[in-house]
Amino acid sequence: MSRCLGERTLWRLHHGDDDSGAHRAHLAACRHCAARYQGLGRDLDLIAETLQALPPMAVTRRRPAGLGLRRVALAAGLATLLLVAGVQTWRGRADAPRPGPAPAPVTEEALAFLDEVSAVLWSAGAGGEWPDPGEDPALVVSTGPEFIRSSP
Amino acid sequence: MESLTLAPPWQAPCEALYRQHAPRVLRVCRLLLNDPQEAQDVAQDVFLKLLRAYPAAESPVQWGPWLIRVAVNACRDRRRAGWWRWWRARHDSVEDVTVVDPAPTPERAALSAEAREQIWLVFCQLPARQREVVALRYVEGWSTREVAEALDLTTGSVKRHLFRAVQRLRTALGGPS
Repeated sequence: MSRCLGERTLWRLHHGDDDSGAHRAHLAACRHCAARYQGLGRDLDLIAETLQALPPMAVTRRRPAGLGLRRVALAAGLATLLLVAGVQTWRGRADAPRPGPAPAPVTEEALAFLDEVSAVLWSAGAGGEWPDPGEDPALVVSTGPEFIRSSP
Repeated sequence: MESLTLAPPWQAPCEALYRQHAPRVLRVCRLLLNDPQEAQDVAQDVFLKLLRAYPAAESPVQWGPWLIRVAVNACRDRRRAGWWRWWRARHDSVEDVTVVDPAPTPERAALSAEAREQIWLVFCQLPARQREVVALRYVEGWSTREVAEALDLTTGSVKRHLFRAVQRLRTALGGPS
C-alpha cells in the first residue's frame, strides 16, 4: 500500500488541480484517505455556509481581555522608555556648552582703522615715550563714583 | 404651467443593480471589516461610486463583479485609514451579539452555534488577504482565476492563501482529521 496522501494533495484533488491517476487510485483504495477527503469537503461546505450567513459581528469582538490589556501595557511601557530616552537626550544637549556667536567678518574699513591705530601707537612708541594719560583726556580711565553715576 | 422632472436614464438601472447586489456587497463588506457600521458606510460608498461610474461607462460592464471588486478595494482603503476605529472595534463590548440566521437549513442547524462562533473567530483573525480570498472564493463563489484577477494575484498565490486560510478555519472544527 502506498503512503497516505497529504493535506495539500487532498486539497488539490478536491479543487480539481491534481490529475494524478495514482492519487485518485489511492483515494479510491484507502479508507483513511477517503474519510479525510470527505471530511475536507464537509468542512469546506460548513465554512462556506457559516460565512454566507450574515456575520455575527459582535462575536468577532470577543477577545481575551488580558491580551488587549497586555498589549496596552506593553505599548505604554515602550512609550515611557522612549519618553525617558528623549528627555535624557534633550537634557544632555541643554547642558552642553554652546558655541558663542560667530565673529563678524573683518571688513576693509575695519582693517584700515586697525592700520591707523597701529600706526598711531607705533609712532607714539617710536619716540621712546608713551603719552602721559593725564595729558590726553581720551586715555583717562575713570573708575570713580562719577563714572558709575554717568554710566547708563 | 406644469413642470415635468425627468429622471436620468441611468437611474432605473442603478436602482435595479442596488436591489440586486446590495445584500452581497454588504455581506462582503461585513466579512472584510469587523465593524458593522463601517461595513454599512463602505457599502453606501460603493453604490455612490456606481452612480458616478454607470453614466460614464462606454463599454458594457459586468456590474456585479465590478461592485464586489470596488467593495474589496474600499474595505482595504478603510482598513488602512481607520486603524484606530479597528482598534476600538476590537475592544468593544459583546453585549449586542446577534446571530442572524433567518432560515437555517438542517445542515446549518446541525452545526452547533459554538462551532459557528469558532469559525467566525478564526476567520476574523485571518490576515486581510486571506479573508478577501476566502470571501470571494467560497462566499461569492468566484473561480480561482476570477479571484486572482480581482485581487491582482496569481492563481497560485490565491490557492496558497486559500489553503492556509482553510487549514486555520478547519482548526475551529476540530482540525484536519
